[in-house]
Amino acid sequence: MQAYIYAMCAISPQNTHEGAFFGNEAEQDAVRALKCIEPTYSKIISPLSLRRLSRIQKMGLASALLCVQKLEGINVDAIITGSAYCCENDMEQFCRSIYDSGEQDLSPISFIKTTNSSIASTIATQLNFSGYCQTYCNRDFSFSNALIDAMLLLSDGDAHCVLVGGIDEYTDDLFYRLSLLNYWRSVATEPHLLIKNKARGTIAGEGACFFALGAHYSDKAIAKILAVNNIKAQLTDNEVFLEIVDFLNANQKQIADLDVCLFGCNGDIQTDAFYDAVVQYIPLGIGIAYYKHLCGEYYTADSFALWIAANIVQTQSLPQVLVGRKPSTNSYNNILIYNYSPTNNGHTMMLISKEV
Amino acid sequence: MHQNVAITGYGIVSAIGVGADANFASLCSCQTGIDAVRYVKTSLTDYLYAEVKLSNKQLAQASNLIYQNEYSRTFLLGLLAAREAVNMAQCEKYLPTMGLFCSTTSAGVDIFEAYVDAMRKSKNFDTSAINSFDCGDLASRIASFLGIRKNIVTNSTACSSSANAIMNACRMIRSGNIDRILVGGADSLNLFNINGFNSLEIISKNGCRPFCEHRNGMTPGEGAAFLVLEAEEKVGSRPIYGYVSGYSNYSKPQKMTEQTADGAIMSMTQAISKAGLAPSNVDFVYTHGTGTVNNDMSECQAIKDVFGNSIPPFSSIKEYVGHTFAASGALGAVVSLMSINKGVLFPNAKLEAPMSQFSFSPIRQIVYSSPQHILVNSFGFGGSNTSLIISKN
Repeated sequence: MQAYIYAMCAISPQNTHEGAFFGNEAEQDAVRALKCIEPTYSKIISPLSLRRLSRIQKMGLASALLCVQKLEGINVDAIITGSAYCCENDMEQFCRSIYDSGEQDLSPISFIKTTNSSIASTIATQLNFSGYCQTYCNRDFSFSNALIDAMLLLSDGDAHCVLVGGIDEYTDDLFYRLSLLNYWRSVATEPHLLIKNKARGTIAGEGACFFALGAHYSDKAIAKILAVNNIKAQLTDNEVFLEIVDFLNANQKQIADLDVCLFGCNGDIQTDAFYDAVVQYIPLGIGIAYYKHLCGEYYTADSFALWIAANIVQTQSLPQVLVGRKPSTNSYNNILIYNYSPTNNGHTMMLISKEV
Repeated sequence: MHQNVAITGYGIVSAIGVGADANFASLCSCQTGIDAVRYVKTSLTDYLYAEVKLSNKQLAQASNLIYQNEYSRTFLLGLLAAREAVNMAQCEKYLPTMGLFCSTTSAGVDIFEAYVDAMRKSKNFDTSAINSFDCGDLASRIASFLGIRKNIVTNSTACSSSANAIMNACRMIRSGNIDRILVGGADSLNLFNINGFNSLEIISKNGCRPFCEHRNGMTPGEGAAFLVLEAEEKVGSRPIYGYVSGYSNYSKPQKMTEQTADGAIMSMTQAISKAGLAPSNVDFVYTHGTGTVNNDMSECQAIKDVFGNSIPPFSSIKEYVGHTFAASGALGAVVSLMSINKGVLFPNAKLEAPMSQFSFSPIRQIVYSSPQHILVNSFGFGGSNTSLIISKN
C-alpha cells in the first residue's frame, strides 16, 4: 500500500498555511503553548457557514479547502479525518452547560457540534461531496489510522483522490487537565530552545494539516508515502530500532537508505532520553531532525511531520530550523518519521520517499 | 489477498442482558430492556431508557476486575463484550498479532461529568482518570488487557461507527495485510447523551416504537458488541458463525440531524452489490429503526426504493435494547448472527399500527426461519449511512 501526495496544506503555529516552507524563522518568545497562525477564514469560508462553526471545524475546513484548491479541478472521492480530541471542547462546554442549567433549555446546536465526525461532514458539505467519509479518534494513532485507511482505499481502487487530514486544537481546559498530569513545562519556554534545553514537560501545540492523496505517480506528485505503521507496546530503545529495521525491510529499504529521520522529540527530559537512546542506533551519516519545537505537542502532530517530510522531499532542502544532527548527504530521498507517545506506549512510523 | 471474511466469535452486552445467551433468551421472549433510569443521576426521569442493569462496580466484577475510577462505563461494557467474542472464537493465542478496531461516540464522558461535578463542588478528583475521557481510551485499554499491539484503530462517526468499523476491518483483512481483527463498539448512557437528545426533542416518553404510526421518538440506551473477523482460510477447524459478505458507507452532506432516503438507498444498494447479491437475495433486514418520525420514514422510503415490490421482512431491535449509538451497528450484526445460527427472526412486538404511508411493515411476531443473508443498517448524524450484509455461507 502506498500513496502519492498531490496537494497539502498546514495550518500551524508557523507561517505555513500559504504554503511556504521554512526559511529564516525568527526566534519566538517564551510560551507554554504554541497556537496556530490562522488564515483569514472569511476569505476561504462563506460568512453564513463561518457563523455556525466551532474553532476546530474552521481550522479543519480551511486547511482542507486550501489543500483542495491546489488540485486544479480534480475531484476528491473520499474524505478522512484523524483527531484525538476532535470536538471534545464542544463536548466539555455542553457538559458544563448541563450542570449550569440543571438539565434545562440546552441548545441542540451545541450538542450537534460535539459530533466527532462533524469536521469531515462540514468539509463534505462545503465540497458538495457524497461518498466515503470517515473519522478516526485514537490519540497518537488518529492521523496514522486515517492515513492507512486512505492508502487502503487507493490500493483497492475504491478511490482515486482521497482528502486526509490531522487536526487537534489547543484549549485552556485541555491544557489545565493535562497540567494536572505534569505534561507541560512549569514555566514558559522559548520554542527554539525546547529540545536543546531539556527539562520536565513540554509545550502544548495544535494544527490542522490536510493532504490530497492519489494512487499513481505523475510529475505533479510532491512525495510518496511508502508505508505507515503503529505499535502499542512497552519497547526498549533496541526493540524500537529493530521495529524500524523490520518496517524498512518490509518496504524494500535498509537503514542505510535513509537520509533523514524526523523524530517527535518534545523537550521533555524523559521522553527525549528515549529518543536519544534510539538515535544511538542510527548511523552517523543519517540526519536527525525535529519538529515539535515548531508546532508544540499534540496527538496529531505527526500530520505536521508529514507536511515537513513532503516539503523536504519536494524542495530537496533541509531547513536549519529542523536540524538536530546534520546529514552527510544533501539529497533527501528517503525520510523516516518516528513518533513515540509514552502515555500510550504508542510508536508511529512513516516512510516518505521521492519517486525515482 | 483474502477473499472471505468469516466471523468466528461474538460478544454482546445490552439492556436485555450480559452475554449472547442472555440477549438471545430476552429476544426470544420479546422482553424489552427499556425501563426507568437506575444509575445515571438525571432529573429527566419522565423518559424511559435502555440501561444495562449492572452498576460500574458490578460490570468490573463481571470482568474479574476491581473497579477503579479511571475505568469508564464505556470501557467496562466494551471489555465484557470483547472478551466474550475472543473466548467464543478461541483465538487467545492469536491476540498478539490480531488487530483491534473500536468505535465509540461518548467514550469516557461519564468520567468527565464526574470531573466537572468535582470541580464545581471544589472536591478532589482522581487524576488517574484524567486520560479516560477521550475516544481513544476504549481501544487503548482493551488492547492493553488483551495484549493486542498493532492495527489498533478507533473511529467515531456517530451512530454508524461500529458498522463502519466492521466494514473497515473486512477491507483490511481482504487486502491481505492482516489475518484477523477484533472489531466492535461500545457506548454508555450518561448525562451528555441524555441531555443531548433531549435538546433535539426526539426522546420518546414511553419507549421507542420503531415503524409504528404513533411512534414519538428514540430511546437512549447503552451497550457493547464485538465480533472476531478472520480470513476464512486461517480459521482451521474452529467454528464459523457467519460471514461479512457485503458493506458500504455512503455519506451525503445534509444538516446534521436531517435524514433523507438518498444516502440510505446508496449504502444498501452498494452493500448488496458488494456481496455479489441482488436485492431479492436479502432474506431479512435489521433496520436502523430508531423510532423517530424522520428516521423510520426515510428508512422505509429507502427500503421501498431498493427492494421495489419485494420487500423482505424486517424489524428493529431498538425496541428491546434502545439506541446504543456507536455500538448499534455491531449489535445489529451480532443479532443477525443469532438469527442465522438459531433460526429466529426477532419482531417489533410493540407495533400498534403500521405506518400509513407504506403498504409494508415490520414483522410483529417471532419468525422461525434461517436466513441466508441479512442486511444491517446504521445511519449516523451528518448523513453517514452504512449497511452490512451478514451471510450464513
